[in-house]
Order: sequence, then C-alpha cells, then structure tokens
Amino acid sequence: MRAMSEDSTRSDAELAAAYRSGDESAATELVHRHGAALGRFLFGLGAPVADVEDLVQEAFFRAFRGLDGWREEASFRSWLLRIGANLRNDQYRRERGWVVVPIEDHDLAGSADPEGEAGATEMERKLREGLGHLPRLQREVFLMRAQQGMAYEDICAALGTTPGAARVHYHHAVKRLKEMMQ
Amino acid sequence: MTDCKAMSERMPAVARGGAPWGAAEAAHLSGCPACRAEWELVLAAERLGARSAGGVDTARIAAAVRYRLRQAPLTPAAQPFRRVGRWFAGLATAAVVILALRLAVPNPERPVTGPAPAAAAGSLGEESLLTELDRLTSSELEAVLDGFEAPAEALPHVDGAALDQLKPQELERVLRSLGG
Repeated sequence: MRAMSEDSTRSDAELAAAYRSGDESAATELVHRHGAALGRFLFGLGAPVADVEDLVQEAFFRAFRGLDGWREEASFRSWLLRIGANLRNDQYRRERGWVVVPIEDHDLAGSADPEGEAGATEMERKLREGLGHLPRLQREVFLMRAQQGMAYEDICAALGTTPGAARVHYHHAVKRLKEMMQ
Repeated sequence: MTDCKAMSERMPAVARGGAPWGAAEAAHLSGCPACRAEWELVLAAERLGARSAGGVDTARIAAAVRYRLRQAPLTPAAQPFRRVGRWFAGLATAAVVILALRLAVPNPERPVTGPAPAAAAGSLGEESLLTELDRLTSSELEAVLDGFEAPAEALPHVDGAALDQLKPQELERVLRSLGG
C-alpha cells in the first residue's frame, strides 16, 4: 500500500534530494502529497476547473526542472504554490487579452465555471468572486493562510516579503472580503 | 484574556481540525460579530475548491510530469553553463547599449573646430555626407578639404622623449590629433 511505503515517511527535502539523484518515485510522492492542495489553491485564484489539472501538471514540471531554485527557506508546498500562482497569473493575463465582450462583475465566477460551482456553497461562491477583486498579494496571502493553513513565516519566505507585511495583506484581505460578503 | 487578534491567529489551525476552540475562545466568538464574520470566511476558504479542484488525479499528473521530465531532462552539468551564458549575454547587451549611446550622444567635452567632417560622417551617415559633398562647387569643396586635419600617418612620429625636439607647429598638430 502506498501510504505505508517508505516515501510517505520521507520529508519533502529528502524526496527532492532523492529526485535529484534520479529517484523518479520521489517525484511521484511529491505530486501525491501536494497536488490536491495546489489544485484547490489555483481554483481559489480563479482558475477554471477545466484548467486546474493542466496548471498543476505545469507547476510540478517547472518545480522539478527548477528544483535547484528551491532554497528550503520556504516549505516545498509554499514554493510550489508560488510557481502555481505565477502560472495562473500568466494565464489570467492571456485570458484578459481574449475577452472582447464586457462582463459584469457578478457574472465572473458563476457563469465562467458552472461545473466548479455546482457543489460549492453560496458562501464559497461569493468568496471566490470576492477573491477575484482583491489585489494579487492580498489574494495569495489570504489563500495561503486561510485555505492552506500556512504560517506567516512560510508565506513571507514564498512571496519574498516580511511576516509583518504578510499579516497586513491578510488583514486587508479579510476586511475587504467581509465588506464584499455583506 | 482572548482578543480578536489572538482569535484571528488561531482560526486557520482550528478550521483545519487542529486544537478546537477553548471555552473562553468559544465565548468570545459567540459575542464578537467581527470574529464571527472572519471565522465564516476562514471556514469557507478552507473548504474552497475541495469538491471541484481538490479531486485532481494526482496519479495521472505524476505520470505526465515524469514523462515530460524524461523528454526534457535537465543535465546538471549544463546548468552552470546556461547561467554563465545568460550572464555574458546580459553583459554583452549592456556593452552594446553603452557603445551605441556613446556614438549617438555627442561628447560635450570634445572641442568642435570647423565643420568636423569625420564626426559629421559618423553621425549623419556616409551617404548623406557624400550627397552633401556632391552639391558643392569645386572652390567650396577645396575649402572643406582644407579644413580636414592632416592624416595620422603624416604626423611626425613621436614618443615621450622626442616631444621636446618638435617645432611649435608640429607640437600643435600632435596635440590636436591627440585631442581628436
């Protein structure tokens, strides 16, 4: 059983080192360990459900190709989320170039992604819509903290900011989201 | 004492099934609308995408990633070369830009005497200068040619010790040639 395998007891750093030495199963374990969280994070950033798997795959591909860039100051997950966020941002910029018909704000989350919203509560739907109106850093910090449960120290290492600044971004995000929910 | 800041710090961990709210925290939560609103947000965020995007097929993704990595392996030895190559490319680009700027922007410290035909050729381009020369009458052309500096090979050959032996006119020509 996979859960009982040696891989599941190794840390992310050990798995990364094993992959560097040519152990492909270490890469598989890292994908199993962080793939779902990355998918949810990308969905929170506004990625259409149909694109989430492709973005997850691309993020892992880039992560393994650039593994030397992971300095272990941030956790593997936060570093991976950062790569995913950059990919999503690039995708968003490309999408924006394709939009030719003005879309009302309230249409953005719901109609663009009906299957993704089918199982979500009204609160989750509104939250996703609200996140789309936040500045990028506020959105990413809020998701890393509230959705992924990451510590501020880890968030700031991933985003290249300070814990104090990450806290400020989080509280601004909460404040604005509360206002949007009312 | 439980304050809103402490509540906010604890929320993500509690939402993810960590240590549950204590009695004092639960009491604060029920009596503080601001904390309740934030708690609802954190709960919604924790669940966000769980049904739709949380179920990504990690086995399929892992297989695809491994396949792609095998197709485009990153050789460890090539990496430093790539970095150094990029560094040199950047340096070369910077050098070209600096050179282009030096050629394009006239040097204010350089004294301009007469028509300065060589400088004009550099800045205006050889073609436009030749067109200009074609339009001149022979007397005008002769005047322009008189304005040219003596060619470098015609200058007296000097080194540091021989400068003292030059005549004043020769010394002036040497100094003018050095000053451009």
